[in-house]
Amino acid sequence: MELINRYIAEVGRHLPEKTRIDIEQEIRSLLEDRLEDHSRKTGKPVDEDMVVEVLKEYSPPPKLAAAYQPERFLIGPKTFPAFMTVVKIVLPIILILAALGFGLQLGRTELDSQDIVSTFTEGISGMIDSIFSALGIIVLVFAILERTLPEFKSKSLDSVVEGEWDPRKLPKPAPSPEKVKFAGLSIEIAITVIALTLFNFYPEIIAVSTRFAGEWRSAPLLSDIFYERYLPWLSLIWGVQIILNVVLISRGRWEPVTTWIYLAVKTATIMLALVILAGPSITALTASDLASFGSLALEQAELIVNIIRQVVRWALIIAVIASGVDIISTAWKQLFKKSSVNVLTTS
Amino acid sequence: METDTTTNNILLELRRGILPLAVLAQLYEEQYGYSLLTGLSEQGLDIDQGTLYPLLRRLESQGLLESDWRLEEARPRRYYKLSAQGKAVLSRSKEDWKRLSNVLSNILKIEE
Repeated sequence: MELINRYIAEVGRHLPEKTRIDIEQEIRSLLEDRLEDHSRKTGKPVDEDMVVEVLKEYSPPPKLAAAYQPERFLIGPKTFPAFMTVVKIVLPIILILAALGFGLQLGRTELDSQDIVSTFTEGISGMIDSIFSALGIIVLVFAILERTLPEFKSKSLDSVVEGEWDPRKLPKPAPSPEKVKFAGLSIEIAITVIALTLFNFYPEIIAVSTRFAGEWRSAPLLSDIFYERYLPWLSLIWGVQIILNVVLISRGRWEPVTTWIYLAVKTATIMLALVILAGPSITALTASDLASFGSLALEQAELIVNIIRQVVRWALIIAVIASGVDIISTAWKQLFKKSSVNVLTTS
Repeated sequence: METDTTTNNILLELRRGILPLAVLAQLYEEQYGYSLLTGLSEQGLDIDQGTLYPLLRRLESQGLLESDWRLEEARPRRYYKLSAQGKAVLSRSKEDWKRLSNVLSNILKIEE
């Protein structure tokens, strides 16, 4: 009987305190009945071998204890769709806010080239922290609602499943995200070709010009550093972008290879923008240049030059943020998308 | 092998579905757990102990069964019997079972 005591104690260890004694008593009663029956049928007295034999007919203690309890979960199947909806709304918002915060941090600090990697790493780490914190809070809120508000379940799913519904209100199927947008890609190719030509072959056009006292005066907008150090890389990125867009138009849809090339181009754009932000100013225009045009006082010219520098700086920061969000969103879709073909064949 | 597993899973679900009805039907007269188990087994329905006793507790918590402990042969035994609500539920379930059984028999004949 020692084995029976041990078995019951082990089952009880996995049971909630509230029902433990009652269930333990019941299991003991059942085991004794079973042993008595077995002894009568075999004509042998109850011994340890018989106890072992009978106990083997029963489930192992944790399994038997589990059978006495309802299925346990943090977020139940009824509330799970609502949970997923909230996650899909909140997480992108958190991601965008974190990216904006990262951008602001970049804008406020003067970075040298050594700080780029550490600042970028801290920014990404901050974004990941924010996502996990938000996810944790959502899970916690749903777990609490699941346990404290029974009506919460009925509102979340039962009303949808059991209530009346209007088939006419079914949403229209979304267009396939894999199909490319020809008009957008064509415009992008045209603009990129113009930019490539302009920056590489007609840099003198990218200048501030004015007519004063009957003659044209002009001052370059961008510095030599921009043309010598950054333009070759920018041209490479633009070249790859044009080739990619042409391939996309010819194929008519996004494929894994083109998606990953697109992500690589976006990443290169971010890296280049960060390097430019951390380096010396790429604007060549000075207040004295502007003032020499004759129509502006030196103070006014300084103000305008400062505004132009800030506009360039913020344009780069916004490009970093926009590309970052685009990379995350595209990578997410690429990694976790469900093919419409799979959905049709498995449903 | 995969077919065997799938078949076993379907049969397991089928048995799980009919167990509450079988147990309720047996408890028109009160019985303790082990006698219920052997009674069902003698009629061809073998149930694992780990399935039957949690089921009895669930049916009791739903108000379909009543139970009380009694001291017999120097040891306590828990006796279960149908409650008034359990009798009503059983009555309705029996009618539904007959209808379902006929429907399924017809369907299975068509399949043959």
